[in-house]
Amino acid sequence: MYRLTIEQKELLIGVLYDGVQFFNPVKDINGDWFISEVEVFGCTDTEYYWIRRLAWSEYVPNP
Amino acid sequence: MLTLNQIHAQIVTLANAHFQIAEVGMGTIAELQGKPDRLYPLLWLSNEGGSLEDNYKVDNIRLTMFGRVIAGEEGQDDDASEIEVLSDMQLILLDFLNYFHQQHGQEYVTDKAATLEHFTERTNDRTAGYSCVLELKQFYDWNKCQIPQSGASIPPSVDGLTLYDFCDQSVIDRLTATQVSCLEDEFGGVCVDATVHNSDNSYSTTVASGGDLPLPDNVITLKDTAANVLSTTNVPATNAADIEAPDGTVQIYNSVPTLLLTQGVASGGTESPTIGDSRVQNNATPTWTDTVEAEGTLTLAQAKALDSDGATTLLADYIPAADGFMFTCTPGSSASLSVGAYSDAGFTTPITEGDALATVYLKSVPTDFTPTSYLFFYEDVNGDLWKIYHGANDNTSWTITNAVLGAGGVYCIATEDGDNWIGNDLDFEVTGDVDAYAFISAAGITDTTQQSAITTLVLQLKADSIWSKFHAIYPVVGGTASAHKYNLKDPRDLDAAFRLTFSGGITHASTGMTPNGSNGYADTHLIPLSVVSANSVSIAYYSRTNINESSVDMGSYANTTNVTFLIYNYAGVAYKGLNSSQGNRGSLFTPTTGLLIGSRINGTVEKYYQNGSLIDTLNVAATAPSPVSIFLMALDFNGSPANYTTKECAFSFIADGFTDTEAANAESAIQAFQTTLGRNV
Repeated sequence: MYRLTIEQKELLIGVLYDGVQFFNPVKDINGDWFISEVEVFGCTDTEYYWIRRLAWSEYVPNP
Repeated sequence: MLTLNQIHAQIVTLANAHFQIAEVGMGTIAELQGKPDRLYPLLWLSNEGGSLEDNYKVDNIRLTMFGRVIAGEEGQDDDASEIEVLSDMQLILLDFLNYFHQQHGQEYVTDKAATLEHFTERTNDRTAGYSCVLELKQFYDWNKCQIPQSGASIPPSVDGLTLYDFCDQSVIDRLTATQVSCLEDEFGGVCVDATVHNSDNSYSTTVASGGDLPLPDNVITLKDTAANVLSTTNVPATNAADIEAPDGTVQIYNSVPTLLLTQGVASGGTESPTIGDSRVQNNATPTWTDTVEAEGTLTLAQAKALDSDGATTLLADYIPAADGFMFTCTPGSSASLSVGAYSDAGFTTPITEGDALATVYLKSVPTDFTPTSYLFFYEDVNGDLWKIYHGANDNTSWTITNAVLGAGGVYCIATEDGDNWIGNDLDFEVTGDVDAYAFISAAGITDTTQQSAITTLVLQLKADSIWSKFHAIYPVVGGTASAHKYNLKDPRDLDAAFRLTFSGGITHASTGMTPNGSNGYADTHLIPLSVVSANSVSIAYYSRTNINESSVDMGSYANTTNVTFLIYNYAGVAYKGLNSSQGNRGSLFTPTTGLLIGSRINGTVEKYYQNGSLIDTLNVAATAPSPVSIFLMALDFNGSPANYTTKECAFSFIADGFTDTEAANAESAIQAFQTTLGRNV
């Protein structure tokens, strides 16, 4: 998964990444925010191409 | 060749023969003066020398005739007396010149030019006369052995025939009366009558000697071959005459009769008059002319009527009429156009109906005309026209889109000139399912297999009378999020139509949509509390993934007593709930693939079917439906997604509760749908 800052997460809330599907930042067990690889590489909105520079990080879901 | 001596001898001989010359002599004038007893008229010869010119020898001998003016009349010799002498001398001298000019068979020739020189008061005899030079030219061959002829006599012709040639008037004139009488006695006599006759003796008569006989004229009568007298002409006897026969006249008329030609023909002759060709033309301002020879035949070609593509539609013999050449064309009623609809591109299987969105092959067949443009269109059941094709081809394929289902007609009109259109139509009904059609159109499904699968599904569900029980059907067909989001029951792009809203990581493919299990899910916007009744609800999920994980495949969770969700296997825990409280009860649905249906049709029982088999029948009291929407591929946990699944979803629905049969029918239809799409598990 690709980790987001809080600010970045706020930027993606309510945004369609390919015209049909919304970003869905999720918080892992550590409280970090992540988006999926599908969202990063499926994004067609150039305004949000910055997500391609997000760092991949291990996502540990909440139980 | 005559020698000079012979020449002189001939002159002397001639002089001696002349009646008027009294004496002839030769020498110089001095020698003449010294000669006594001269007799006059005297011819005196003086040698004037000669010359050689090429092959001729010329001897010049001066002849001088002396005449004496009579003595005693001395002093009285007036001009008249002297002239008398001169004239006589000149005549005698001319006799000599004439003689030698006549040649008389001699070898010499003389020059016909001579100068006559006169003189008077010459010599002591007081003479007058004339003198000239006789120039004798003889052929001279330069023979050194020249042998002169002998003899001095003049050939007999000189003094015989020549001097007494009675054909010579001068000889006659010199005859004396006695000589004439003797000649008459010798040669004269009485003449007998002459006989006159023509060549065939058909005419004969006599005429006295010295008489006059006028011969009668010949009468020439000219006749033609019909014995008609053309002319009569008198021709003096023995005369030749040209009798001119009058020319004939040839006149040639046509049948009117109008005189076409007048031409003269010489009698007995031949003429070849030519009659001009007749002219044939079309009307007053001819655009066509031709000629035909007199009495010839001109065959006119048949008239043709051509249609616009050049095909002959009518042949007519040319028959003139007073108001022009006419022929009657029958209207082109034979031109027609048929149109057919076929299920195959080879136009072998005709059809009169076709499913919406199916492809139909249309073909028109023109008869007796050659269209250059075709227009195909469809008139639907409402009378609205839908253009299908416009172009030069007589066939086209037609994917039945936008047309309202129902009985309509396929039309084709065609034209070969752009102005006149001929058409025909074919009753054609657009079949299929309007709901399927609406969904396919909204989702942009172009694959015919997918279209057919959807239509078949809808029709089957309707046939099973369960169509109306559905609130949302997600066929998940098309391979993209934009196609997968539509609700087959209400394919509007609205939350109110329960159109899916995707969030997070979901991979869409032709087999379905695969969530990532971390944040991918879909919100149906269908809130059970608002849509279903507590005692009647069914939900289904078609998983293509067999996995044991702690996830919820679809559901709504408001609290532990108001849940509606489906879980194949929550990591070994059999959580279930259909408008009920959450509970771990019943079976695990493993493997976690295939169609899982949970249905409640009353307030006490929940049933679960997997791949058409009733797995669980659970007595669970119904509670109020959840007030939060149902999520797919996750659980709407009181407004937030939770328990994300990774199971690929290939179908899902939310409906009222199904009976066993209804559930089985639904399962059968859905499984057939998946099978058609090749993604059944």
